[in-house]
Amino acid sequence: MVNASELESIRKAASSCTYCGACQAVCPVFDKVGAEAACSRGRLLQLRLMAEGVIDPNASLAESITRCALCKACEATCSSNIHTTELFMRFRRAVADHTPLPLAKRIAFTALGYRRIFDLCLRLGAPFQKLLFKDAPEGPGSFSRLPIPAAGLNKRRLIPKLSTQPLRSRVSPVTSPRGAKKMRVAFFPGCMLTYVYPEAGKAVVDVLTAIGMEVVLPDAIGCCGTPAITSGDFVAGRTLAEMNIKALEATGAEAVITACATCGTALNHEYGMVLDDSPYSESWARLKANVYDFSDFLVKFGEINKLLLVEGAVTYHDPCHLVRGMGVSAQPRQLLAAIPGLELREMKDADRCCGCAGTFSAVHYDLASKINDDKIANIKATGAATVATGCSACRMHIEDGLSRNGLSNVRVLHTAQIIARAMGCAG
Amino acid sequence: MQDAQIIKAVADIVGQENIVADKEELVCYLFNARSRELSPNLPILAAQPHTSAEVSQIMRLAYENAIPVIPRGQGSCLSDNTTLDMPGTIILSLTHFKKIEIDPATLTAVVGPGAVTADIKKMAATHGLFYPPDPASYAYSTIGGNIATDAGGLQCVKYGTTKSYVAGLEVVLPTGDIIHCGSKCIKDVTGYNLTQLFTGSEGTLGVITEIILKLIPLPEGKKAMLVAFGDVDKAAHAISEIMVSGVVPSIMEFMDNTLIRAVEEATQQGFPVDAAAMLLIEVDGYKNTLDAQAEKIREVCERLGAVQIRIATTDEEAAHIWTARRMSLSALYKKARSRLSGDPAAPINRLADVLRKLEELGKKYNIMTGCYGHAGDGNVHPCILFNTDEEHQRAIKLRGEFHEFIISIGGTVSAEHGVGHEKIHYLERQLGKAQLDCLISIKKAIDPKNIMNPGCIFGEYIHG
Repeated sequence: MVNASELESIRKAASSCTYCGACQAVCPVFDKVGAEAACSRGRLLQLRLMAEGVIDPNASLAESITRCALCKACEATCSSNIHTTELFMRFRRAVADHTPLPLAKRIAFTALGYRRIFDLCLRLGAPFQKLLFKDAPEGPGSFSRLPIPAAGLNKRRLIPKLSTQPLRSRVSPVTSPRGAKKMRVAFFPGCMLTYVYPEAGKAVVDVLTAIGMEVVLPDAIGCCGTPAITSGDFVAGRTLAEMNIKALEATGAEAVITACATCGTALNHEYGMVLDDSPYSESWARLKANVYDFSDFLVKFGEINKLLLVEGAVTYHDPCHLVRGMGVSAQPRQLLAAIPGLELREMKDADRCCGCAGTFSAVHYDLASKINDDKIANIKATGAATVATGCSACRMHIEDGLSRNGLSNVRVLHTAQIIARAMGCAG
Repeated sequence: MQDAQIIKAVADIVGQENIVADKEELVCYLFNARSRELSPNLPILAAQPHTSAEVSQIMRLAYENAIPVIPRGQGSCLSDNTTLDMPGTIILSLTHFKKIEIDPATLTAVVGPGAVTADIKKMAATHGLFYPPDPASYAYSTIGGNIATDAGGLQCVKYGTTKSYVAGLEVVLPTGDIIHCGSKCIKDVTGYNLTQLFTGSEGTLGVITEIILKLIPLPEGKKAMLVAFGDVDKAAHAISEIMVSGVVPSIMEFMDNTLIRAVEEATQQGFPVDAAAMLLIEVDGYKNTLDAQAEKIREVCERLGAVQIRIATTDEEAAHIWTARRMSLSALYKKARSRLSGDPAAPINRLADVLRKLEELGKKYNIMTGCYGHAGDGNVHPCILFNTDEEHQRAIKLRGEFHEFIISIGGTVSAEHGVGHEKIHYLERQLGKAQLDCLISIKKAIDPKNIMNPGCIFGEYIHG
């Protein structure tokens, strides 16, 4: 059974819901499913009733609590200020403690903790990926040759290719600034900017050095831990958190830059959930105050002038973890709008979840695709040929949605890539 | 029919993926925004149909087997309108009916009952059109529920409640028959006005599956004001005077000292904590008329001794004024464990009496009360706060006496939330026996087996 004091703490937090239902109007999952249990109001009631012993914490309940994209839209609208996503993750942990995670997830999360093995697997994976995946007829990425549901591989899903040249082969451990050094910063690229979209990772480093930053790419960092934490594996989450905190602190950098919304939210918020009595708690408290999303850092500390012409219309998608996780939404728009020739076209519901939500889209691919289709329709309506965003998971999912909807001519880029071009960086 | 058979029959109609029959999920339907306790009556299932044809088939099945059906919108109702009185019910959730089609040529919109009211407003505004009703929940409540309760809101003082904008309905009757009442025509008196009968019927007569809404041109601009008074009588007097001054404000909200203090504690935005009452007013219309409207209101308020008058000149100042209204309730609720509230209305010239009475009763029962409301239309929301079970009992007595007073001065116990399960005991007192019998006859004529939201409005007045 779930630990009694944790259960009481969940019950208390869930009980502050007034059942007004404001969460239903903003929930992307409820929009598609329509059932009470597919939204926070229903789930909070379920958690409360579970804690009160009215319903059992069985598979049906676990399924309901898992069917949340953790997009935080409900938190932003909740008049009782309930931290729903944190409660759901804590419930998932309580369940994970008693019901083993699927084998594929367990192996994956354990491997994440062994950085060198993880790195080796993904490096070796790049040349061999054609065995498992076939190239998409057009656009980026490939399709799985075999359906492997446990790993989130659906035969219809466009999976981006692993780069044969990951970020570390493109960027030195320490890159000197162009011109006078203003600050020493650590770049935390996370998995996807390292292995899947290293050109975007490179663009981040190029822009940072162009504004006078000495950029450290710490060797001993790994996955941010979000896939493990959101799945309720707080043990793996804590191992990764401690590893990353230790490595980032050792760089002696004045700021930590993330360019993946999810990594950023983990570093400046979600580690608080898994660290508990960790000896690294204090280090984290110091560190998190200086974690910046790339675009936020650029606006605060960069002097950007004389941008080059980048012609074309761009629409910007707000990643949940950036707009609600880190409170960053004006900054990327401000940067993009400053580029001469670039026309920033707002899409409808730009800050609504694209449906990816990491492991959510792996487990609930059909649902994630329906949510994604709305995002694609909104992108299409702008007529923009480029989508800019600040999260590689969103990027991957939106690329999949564009491919499914026959819009492979629309490309998705990290905001940093567009800015790097406008600043004349090689990236 | 056994529960399992019913579940299978409904699943055959709407598809397995559109029913909820697990206990762990069904418990979520035992609650709505007003629920304080968990109903023990778990429904058999919740169905989520997509078409009126599916609703019709479900109703046919329910009618033949005398299974109670509770239509459910967003569940943000405030009078326990969707409470499960009995076991063995089917919850009919209309969340998938989201259609919104604006027809600018006829100044109408055709919408599904599951469309969120705010989305209708937004969509209408893109055509320069306006759907005025704005219950406090409009950002998330659905139009079906708004119509079922004839929901009110802030702007009703000028524009009227939901019913003023319902031009036509598609309704699935308890028998499964589908009717279309009303039309897109501005004038339509062919037969009884069933459209208005189903509006405000709280799901007790049929299932609304499509709606024709009337729209009006979107006002060009608006202006917000805040006016404070040293005593409640003067504020109430000012409200009555403004309403007959020739200017019709689009919003006229009232907050008493308890509310002002609560909101100032929560926001620290410099609201007048020493004032006995505060009015939050908005005027709208053509931009070149706004100053004159605001000026007229200022004259009245000054003449009646207002201690502070602020007219917003920027959007930020207006936003500041509306913060008070938005924050007031959550700020007040933090002051006690729980509360009783309500939605009575009185003729606007009796407002001062209503406010004085609530204050008096608060003293008599030694209970903390606060009052806010859409004072321009005489509709107030008393807040009766309590911390202990014993206080709860006193609060119930207080509210009973307050409602008796409302009825005695020609007011109504429910202005905008409906009777639900909450106000059944006032029904006969408010309507009189003959009128209540008339209502019961209508209910029995349309729903002879009493399967539509049974218990709601009528309670024990109707059996089986």
